[in-house]
Amino acid sequence: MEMPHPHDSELVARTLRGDGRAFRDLVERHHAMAYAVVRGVLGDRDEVEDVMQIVYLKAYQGLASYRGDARFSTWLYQIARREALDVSSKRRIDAADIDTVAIPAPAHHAPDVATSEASHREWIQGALGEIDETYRTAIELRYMAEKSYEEIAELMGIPVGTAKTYVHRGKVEMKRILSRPAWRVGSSSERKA
Amino acid sequence: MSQHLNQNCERFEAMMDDWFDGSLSAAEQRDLSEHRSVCASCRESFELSSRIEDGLVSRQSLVPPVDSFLPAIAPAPARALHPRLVRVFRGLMSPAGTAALLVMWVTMLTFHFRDPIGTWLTRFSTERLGVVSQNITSELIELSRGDVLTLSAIYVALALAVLASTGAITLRYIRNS
Repeated sequence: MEMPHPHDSELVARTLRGDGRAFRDLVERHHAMAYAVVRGVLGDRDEVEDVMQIVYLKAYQGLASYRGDARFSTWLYQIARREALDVSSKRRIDAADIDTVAIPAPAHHAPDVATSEASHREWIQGALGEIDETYRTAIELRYMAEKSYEEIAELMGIPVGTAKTYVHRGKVEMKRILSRPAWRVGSSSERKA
Repeated sequence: MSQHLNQNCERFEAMMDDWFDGSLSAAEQRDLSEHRSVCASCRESFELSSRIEDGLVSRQSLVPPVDSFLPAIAPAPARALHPRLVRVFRGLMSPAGTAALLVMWVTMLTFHFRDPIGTWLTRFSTERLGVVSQNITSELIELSRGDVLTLSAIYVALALAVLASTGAITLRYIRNS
């Protein structure tokens, strides 16, 4: 017979009693969500891995202060978002310190044939990287973390209708970006001709 | 005719999300399929949306295993102190609180070892309480019951201060570690 899954609060209590396995189980349960949030804020940056480690370390260290007023997932969402935004703002400051030039859409994001899995992924990632951070977070929660609109709304603290709108607008934005000649599938061969 | 087609195109675009979510009725699905078959622009739009949808759905596979991000977990995280206790310790950690604690520590030690400051403080307190003592260092101080109680209260307060300062130092250590 399959053992029933313990509630988050029970895993929190077990972690506080020194059960490291319980913390792993707790975090694994919400890992896709936390990862999606960090990716939503930072996109495909190198810092994602580092931020994820910090998120779990802070969650572990701060677990004693978690009083169960909100769901554990919401609490973890807030930590993940705060840490990712922190890195994102530092990055913006660093970028502002140096003279920047407008960088055109990278040609490699428009594969001749977007059928191979890797190039298709790159194509999608490129468009995701250009859309608004809020829409991207909603989309990552929806697809990467497989969250329902109700769950997205609860995590982001918005009405369900707004969560749907964010996802929809994000996809419309992606479509607009991917319709540009530089991004369109087969555009390279079209340009050559 | 053209206006009707445009209206259908707008409806097609608006309903595409629901199509991919699988939340359209059979009749709506049929309408969209019919429109797609006659409208080249919507067909192209649908194909692009399909590719985007496929790419987004496959993003689940990009989530790395949780173990690569977990910190080395050794001891259990410290349990949270009661908020009121934390406020008291925070007060003690302020410069004024630390100075007051330091004075109390020194006072308590001098009382204990009967050094000159302690003697002075004892004399001061006994004189204030109206007790006459000719040779305070060599003779036992004759104190009334009330005096003993007052001095005992001072000692208890000092002991509590020592405990509180120890707690504050412990809290500071936990926060820094």
